[in-house]
Amino acid sequence: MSAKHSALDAIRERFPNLSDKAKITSPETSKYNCIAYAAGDLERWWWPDTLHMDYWPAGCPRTEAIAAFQVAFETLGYQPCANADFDLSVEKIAIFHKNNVPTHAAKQIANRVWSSKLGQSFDISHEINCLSGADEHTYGEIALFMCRLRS
Amino acid sequence: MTKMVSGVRDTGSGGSYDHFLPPSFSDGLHTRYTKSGDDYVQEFHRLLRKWRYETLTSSSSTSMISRPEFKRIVALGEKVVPLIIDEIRTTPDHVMAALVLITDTNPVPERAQGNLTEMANAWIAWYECET
Repeated sequence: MSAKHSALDAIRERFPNLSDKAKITSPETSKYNCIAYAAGDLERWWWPDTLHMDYWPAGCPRTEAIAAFQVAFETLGYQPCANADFDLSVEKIAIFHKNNVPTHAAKQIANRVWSSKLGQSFDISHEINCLSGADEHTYGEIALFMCRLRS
Repeated sequence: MTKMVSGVRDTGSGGSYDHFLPPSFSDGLHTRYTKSGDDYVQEFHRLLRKWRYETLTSSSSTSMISRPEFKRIVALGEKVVPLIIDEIRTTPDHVMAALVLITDTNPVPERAQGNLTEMANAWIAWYECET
């Protein structure tokens, strides 16, 4: 890797569908992950792990299932919705999966612009399908959109 | 966790993106490797680099601990506990899960779940009580 190799170039090697519109929007940190970020929590790692190391909302199924992630976001007032269309009156998130196992969540920040925390790495802004794919590091496909009224 | 221990800090990339590179290209452990009594130390650090590279953009801690590099770290057993403690003093991450599996204990209080810095502090406090 050359010195001129940017962080975005490095990210693009893992997410080859990332367009030129993508931007890094935060320092790199392992404090929180994509689920926490979509939930608005920048202090904790959210995951329903069986070792009970990570945070998971009380009362939600601690299983790696799309339904469990849906219930977790329902505790924050989100409900399933039809699509990624921008609506100024609501906040939207998208939950990604591979083989029905959740892999990622992103939140909508503007018309056709979404924001994601990439694991232990950066937050980025991106188009909704740029992180999809079947490659090892990509996040599969979108399983579910959810929204809640903007406060 | 009742004891705060200094030394845990959040670490950024510092402008270097070598951690996005496969470790075989960014470390020197694949050359001039000599067998010694401390082989497990080098093996631990080699596995840790590879594991961190592979899991850098993953949010799933379940996926992280399913990686073969992680399983090999756990298989190294109790002798790598001090090495993991040293790591989480500066880089508190999910390598702490290896401590749970190796020691069969978890000193992290429920209120600290998911807070990697507080989790590392709990493990460091536990280790300093044990040694």
